[in-house]
Amino acid sequence: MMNNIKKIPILYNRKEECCGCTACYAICSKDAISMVEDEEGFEYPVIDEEKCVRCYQCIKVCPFKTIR
Amino acid sequence: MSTILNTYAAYSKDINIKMASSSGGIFSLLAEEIINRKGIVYGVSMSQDCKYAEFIRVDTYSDLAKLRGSKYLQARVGRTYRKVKSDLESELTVLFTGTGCQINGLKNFLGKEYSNLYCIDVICHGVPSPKLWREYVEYNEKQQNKRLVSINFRCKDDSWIDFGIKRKDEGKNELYISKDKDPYMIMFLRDYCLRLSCYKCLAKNDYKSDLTLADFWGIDEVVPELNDGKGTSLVMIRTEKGRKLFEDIKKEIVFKEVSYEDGVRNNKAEYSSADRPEERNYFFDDLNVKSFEEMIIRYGKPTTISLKRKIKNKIIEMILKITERGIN
Repeated sequence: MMNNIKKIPILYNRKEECCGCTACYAICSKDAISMVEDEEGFEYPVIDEEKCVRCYQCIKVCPFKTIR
Repeated sequence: MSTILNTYAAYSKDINIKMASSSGGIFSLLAEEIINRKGIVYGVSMSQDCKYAEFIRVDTYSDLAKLRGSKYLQARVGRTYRKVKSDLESELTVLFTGTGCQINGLKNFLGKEYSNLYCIDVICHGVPSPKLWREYVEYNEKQQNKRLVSINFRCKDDSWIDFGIKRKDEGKNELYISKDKDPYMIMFLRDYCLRLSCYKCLAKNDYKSDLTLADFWGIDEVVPELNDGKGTSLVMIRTEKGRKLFEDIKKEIVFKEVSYEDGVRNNKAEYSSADRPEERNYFFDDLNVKSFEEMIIRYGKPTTISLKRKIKNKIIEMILKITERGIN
């Protein structure tokens, strides 16, 4: 039930906001994130909503989110 | 803004290492130092089929060769960050080499400082698309009807500054193309095919590496005595730890300290991102529908200077020489 209340983390709004470093992919304890090639051939993280427990660790390690 | 402790022009005294490296062979010496300490080196290698670049874990001198030389496409990181953490927790000395953003990502993932971790970034112009690279390889393989077995993005048989790309196929044929003529290099250097985040690189304002390595472009304006035409590295020391590691290879290199400003005078990629050209807006739409041949015609042709222009340039050059002599 909890899972349905908490929102799925948004790793990036625009592609400009993801450098593909894999920090989110590596930190995920549930292996809910995979790196998938987009139509330009660059890898972006994709969250499996079934596996995601909404711990937001992925957001915490993102270089684009942590910058002041 | 990150601080820089020292900036150097440097190259390896070992000519074989230097010739096998993109610039002055400094990475190889630093990496060997880590292997000397029974440590682990992480860096980017081309896959066996040459179709993609990937991070690998190296613990022998012979495997270091795979990490040598620039790879001009974004590398697959895969499970690397987790492997690095596990090595660090096992108290092994680890050297991680990559782009600034890959180092920043790793450090965020680790979440704490490890005294046994060294990070070296290469000054990055922005990463081209792995898909574009793949299609380039497949196009060439089809043209030659032979598989590619090795690729050198920074062949300096001719010249370090005017380098070229060298391909070797399964029939042991070698093909060298100058960076100004090879379609892939042209598309890359015109910034048509970089990752979108590269045009506004965050890592350039927030270096977390211990050392930064690059080519010492524009060396003749700063330390011409350190240019033998075979490659000189730009070395930037960012931390005490980085300084200590560099100290350990000083006996194996020729070096001279320069100011930060002189070091990056002709390497603005250290502090600024590539400009996003208009072509970036439709380049990949085209890549997805057009043949590679068409892509070459549209985006990968060398700029040709007309004969008229060439003559005009020559005349201007001559006049300038004459007036210079007149003044002196």
